[in-house]
Amino acid sequence: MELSYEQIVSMAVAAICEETGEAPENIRVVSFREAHKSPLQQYIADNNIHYHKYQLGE
Amino acid sequence: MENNWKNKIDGLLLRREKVEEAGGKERVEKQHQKGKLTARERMEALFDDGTFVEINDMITSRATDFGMDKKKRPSDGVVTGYGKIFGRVAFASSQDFTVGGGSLGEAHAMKICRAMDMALDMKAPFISINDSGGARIEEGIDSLSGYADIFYRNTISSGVIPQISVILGPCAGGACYSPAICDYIFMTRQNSQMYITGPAVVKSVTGEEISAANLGGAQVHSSTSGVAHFVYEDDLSCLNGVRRLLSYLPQNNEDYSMVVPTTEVDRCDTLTDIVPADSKQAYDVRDVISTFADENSFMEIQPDFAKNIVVGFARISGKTVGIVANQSAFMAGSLEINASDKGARFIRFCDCFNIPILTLVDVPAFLPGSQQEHGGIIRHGAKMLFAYSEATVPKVSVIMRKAYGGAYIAMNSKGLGADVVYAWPVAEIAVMGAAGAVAIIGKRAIDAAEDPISKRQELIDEYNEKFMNPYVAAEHGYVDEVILPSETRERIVAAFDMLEAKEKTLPYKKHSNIPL
Repeated sequence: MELSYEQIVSMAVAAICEETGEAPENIRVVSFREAHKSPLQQYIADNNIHYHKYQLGE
Repeated sequence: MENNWKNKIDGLLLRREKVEEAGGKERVEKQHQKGKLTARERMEALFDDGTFVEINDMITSRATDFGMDKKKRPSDGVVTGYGKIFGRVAFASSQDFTVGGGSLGEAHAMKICRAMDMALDMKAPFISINDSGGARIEEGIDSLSGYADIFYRNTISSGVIPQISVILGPCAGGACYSPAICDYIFMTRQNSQMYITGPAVVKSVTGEEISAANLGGAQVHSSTSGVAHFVYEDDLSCLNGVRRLLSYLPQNNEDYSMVVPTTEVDRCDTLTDIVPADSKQAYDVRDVISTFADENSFMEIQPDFAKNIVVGFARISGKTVGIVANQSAFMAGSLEINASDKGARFIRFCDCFNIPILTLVDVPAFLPGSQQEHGGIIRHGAKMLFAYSEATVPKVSVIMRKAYGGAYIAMNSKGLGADVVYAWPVAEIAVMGAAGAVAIIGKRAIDAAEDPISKRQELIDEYNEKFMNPYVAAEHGYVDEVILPSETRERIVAAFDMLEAKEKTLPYKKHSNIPL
């Protein structure tokens, strides 16, 4: 399913509003770019690796 | 072509793409098939998400001999840069096996040296990820000189910034000396190999046939040679291990470790169940550590080498502490050559980086025998004494059970500068055990007795009553307090709190001359 730029931005804004409790009219989209999986993320996905990067206190 | 922004930007993006292709899709696929990540994937796994910044990505070799000028080696086979680990800056190099086998030439070495210089200037840890076929033969002496430049910097940085070496592929010949100078070496079971001389040369020179894994794999170096400190299954878990280790360490020798609040633990009331009162019965000292160290915070170092001594980092109330402990469950916790080396190296690392040391004592002796004597136990054992004496970080000891003879002295005794020494009521602090002592000092009386066996037992009982306890040492000031095992954590916390502001300077010297 291919989404238009406007649809993607709307979904992102909606998610932010839900997360932060902020009203949509208070959100201003400054810039937008497509983020691709990094090579590492792709490798992990391709090989079904269960991976979690070590975080402090674990 | 028209000189405009778009063309220039497109040109740069194209160059970046070429650099990031590294050795090409086929070689990257081959790397993955071996269960190995690429150089840049490893950097991504090491650093906090989105923080890695690569430097000098477009450096290439200037060599022209043997057709080198016609070979493309993106980034000259090594990725260098900086990023954050738990929000703190660190620098790293990561050799790229997909590019010319990760071989080291002049430019390759220059890149690593530049990153090392930056790490030293910024007083931040340096991590080197090794995956290389070795010196680039086409570049001859320039390759060797490159290695020398790296070793020099490892040495100058030693004790100033933490240096960690991660062996994720082959590391052969002189290249091994960089990891050897670093503070900690990580290896993976799957793909790590380290040896000065590989199996082929070993066979041709000595006739010995041996596989690469048996000569210098992770198992060998973690259990027999003592070269490696940590072993993991694969690249990802290994790099997670590096992150975990760094969480215990400061940025440099003028810094202090982070306080990492975790679940505090006080199960010291179970110590009398864990540690038998009879000093001839064994137990696992790691169970003791788990009664007072913060939950899951103990990171053991070299668990499979010199198992008779346990060393590692733990947290107590969120603060890093280095722990040195005799392991009763192995060789009765005696000290010998390998344990002395392991203990001394760890103590000196803690002292370099302002990490307080907690010593748990249950040691019967330095292991006797001609193998130990001929192997140099005198100079190796001396390392423990030297390391403790020279350390100016807070030093706290808990004498749990046996503490006999020279081994008692070597395990952070009062005379070596321990700040606080506690002892449990079952502690036995003496020159030697009762049987051995009576055999010497009671010989005449036993020989003269009508019933030598009863006389011997009578003298042993008398010796046990008089000397095999912590109270003589407490009366003479060598033990600060005899404590209940259930009071252990409370006392350790109080001692380290009190010692937090400790400052001690040693007489001026260029550097000491520790027996090697």
